[in-house]
Amino acid sequence: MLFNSFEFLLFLPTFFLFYWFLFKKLRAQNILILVSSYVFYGWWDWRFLILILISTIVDYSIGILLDKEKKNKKRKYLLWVSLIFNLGLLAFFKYFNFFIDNWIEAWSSVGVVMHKSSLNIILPVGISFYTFQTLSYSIDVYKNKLKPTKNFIAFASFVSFFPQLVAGPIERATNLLPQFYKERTFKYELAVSGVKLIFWGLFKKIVIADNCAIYVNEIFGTYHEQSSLTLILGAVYFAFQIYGDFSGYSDIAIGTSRLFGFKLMRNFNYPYFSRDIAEFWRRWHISLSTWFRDYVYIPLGGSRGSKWMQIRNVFIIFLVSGFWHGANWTFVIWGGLNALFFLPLLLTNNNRKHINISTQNRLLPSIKEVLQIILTFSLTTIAWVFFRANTVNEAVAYILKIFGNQNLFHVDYLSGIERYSFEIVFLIPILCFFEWIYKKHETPFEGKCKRVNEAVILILLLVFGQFTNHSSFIYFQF
Amino acid sequence: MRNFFKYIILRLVVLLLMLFLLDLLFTTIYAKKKGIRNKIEFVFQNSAKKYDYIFLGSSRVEYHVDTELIDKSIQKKSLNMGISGQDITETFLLLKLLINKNFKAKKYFIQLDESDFSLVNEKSFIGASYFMPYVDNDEVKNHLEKYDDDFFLDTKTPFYRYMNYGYKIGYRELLLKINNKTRREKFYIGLKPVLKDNKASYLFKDKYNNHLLNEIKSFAKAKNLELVFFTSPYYNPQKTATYKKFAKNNNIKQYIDSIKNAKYFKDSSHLNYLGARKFTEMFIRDFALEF
Repeated sequence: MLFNSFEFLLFLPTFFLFYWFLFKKLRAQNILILVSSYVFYGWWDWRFLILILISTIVDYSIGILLDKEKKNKKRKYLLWVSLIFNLGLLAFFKYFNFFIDNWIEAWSSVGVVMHKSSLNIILPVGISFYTFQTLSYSIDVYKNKLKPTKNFIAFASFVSFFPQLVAGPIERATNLLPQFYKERTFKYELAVSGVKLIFWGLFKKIVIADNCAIYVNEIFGTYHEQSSLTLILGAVYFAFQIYGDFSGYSDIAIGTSRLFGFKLMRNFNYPYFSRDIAEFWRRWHISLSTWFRDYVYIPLGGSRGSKWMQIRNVFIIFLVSGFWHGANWTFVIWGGLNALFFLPLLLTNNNRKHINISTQNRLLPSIKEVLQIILTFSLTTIAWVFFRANTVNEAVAYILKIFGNQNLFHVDYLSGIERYSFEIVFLIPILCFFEWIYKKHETPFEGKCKRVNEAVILILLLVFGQFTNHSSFIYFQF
Repeated sequence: MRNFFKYIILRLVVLLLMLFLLDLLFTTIYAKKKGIRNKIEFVFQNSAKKYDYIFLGSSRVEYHVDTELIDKSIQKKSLNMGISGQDITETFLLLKLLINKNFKAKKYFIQLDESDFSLVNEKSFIGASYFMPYVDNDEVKNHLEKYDDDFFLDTKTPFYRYMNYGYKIGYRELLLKINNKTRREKFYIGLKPVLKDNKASYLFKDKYNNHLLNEIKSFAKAKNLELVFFTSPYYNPQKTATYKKFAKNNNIKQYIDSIKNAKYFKDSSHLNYLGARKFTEMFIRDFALEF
């Protein structure tokens, strides 16, 4: 079920009424969450519910066994069982064909021809998200950061909680699980902030991302015929498409959770206003970045040790993060590029220079800040080309075409077919304007002019929203 | 909770008001602003026109029948009324509107795709967007009531039609309309690209029904119209035997495999302008031979 679908429009209020009026007891509410989450997920493909159920049972059992077991060696074995099971699921469903293809290709490069009998493996939606969430539970219990739960319903609801099941935010058990134990009461302010987030998320998805997608698909699909400026626009549009798509999804997920008394972590914090790559990664997909920081980077030694060790750790975390996104070398290169962009900051010890949002107490940034923001955005946009392209060769050709094109400034995708019009040219600045002015808030529906902003965004949503061409969220595929 | 419901209800009221206002704005502009952007507007802004031939159908008329060539070659007056994405139910509605607005032709050529006879849902109106600003017109309303599954949403829910069919009658089309971007009156559009994939093909189905075709025939009989049905060429059509038999039984002139060279195609179901020229010449020759 998609957040931007008619089914969800019926599902959400029905669930809301049942949740607050019929199922008032904590246990009953948790059971309702569990059943509804399975319905929500099963709407896409009910067969893969079994995977979530097995994953839930395995990590729930391991949690209990870890609590009982006092010997370190046996506790370590139990942790390995969880790691192997969760990563094994991921490896099989997400990476099996990738490994087979690369294995065959590697042998063929030395003259050995192997024939592939490929398996038609469907990637279960959200597998990368819920496996990481359950893994964090087992690791936290192993490290005694969290008491394991004996409440199976609460744990199963935590794993399958529908607002964030398929594309995050990847919640830590330490934050989300305890919320399933506590009596939840309806809070007006929390629910209203949730509605505002849902509304803002829908705007980002349906207006920004889905409109950008029309142009991005056209430009990336015919990049070899396009001029330099068109290709640059295509890459910029994709930067906003993926931002609108994923941050929009996160906002809707967080907002939906608030309607039911849950508080999820913030996943995006105005990343395109970052002044360097390190700041960008503190503001982009925060739940994944912090997951890798806590469970991969720090155990590897983090920023301790020699410079070489630090560089190694940075590359590992970015490459693994890239690979997490998909079984394609394009994602690995995307991760590698981000590591490269991060490197100068690490070497000059400037990677923690920009902690707060830029121009926190001023309206206008300095020229230096503007240049820093433009540079950071340009670097991430170059990396996004690899993220969007189907193959590494295609991404390289796309970038080379930008620089090696005779026809530098002719924007030809705007001419010819009337369907391709001009709305993005002002919709993106509108998004940037609202985000810049209201960067101290979660949405433009707080602070000054909030009512006017609500009306403006509503009109933009109704007039410019893509309601029939609505596409699935990009991050569902990961 | 009460305050929360008040908050939600207030916003729903604003939403509803906004939908009404936007619907009024869009409909008024489409109805009142002169200048022709599409063929439905052409019909609504004109009446009592006479032609020798009027061609109706989908993109496989819009891009395939070079009416300028017909007029020049055989000194006739023809009109290309093909609309991209249109299926048989919408073509039927356009025919009704033409008759209603007194557009007369000696012959009405109706292009029907093989997919028109294998519709899973004969009440889907995906391509008919251009009709939607005119849902208050009796002919349109009555037709939609009979053939549109989403009749209530399309005609009674404010602004839904402009959101649902935004691709064709949304803000882009509205802005072009406001800016007086008009279309060529003859309406034929020649496509430039050439099919790159020589291995492309078009697979025919193995089951067809003539239910809607018979309704069109009954309508034509009642109105004393001369209709000619035909099916345009496909590139490399596969498993065509059932359709050919169906076409023969239902008096549909089929050209499905009449053009074979990839250089005449844009894709497996669309000719480019070279193909359109070839196809139209073929058509002109057949007029002399058969009609």
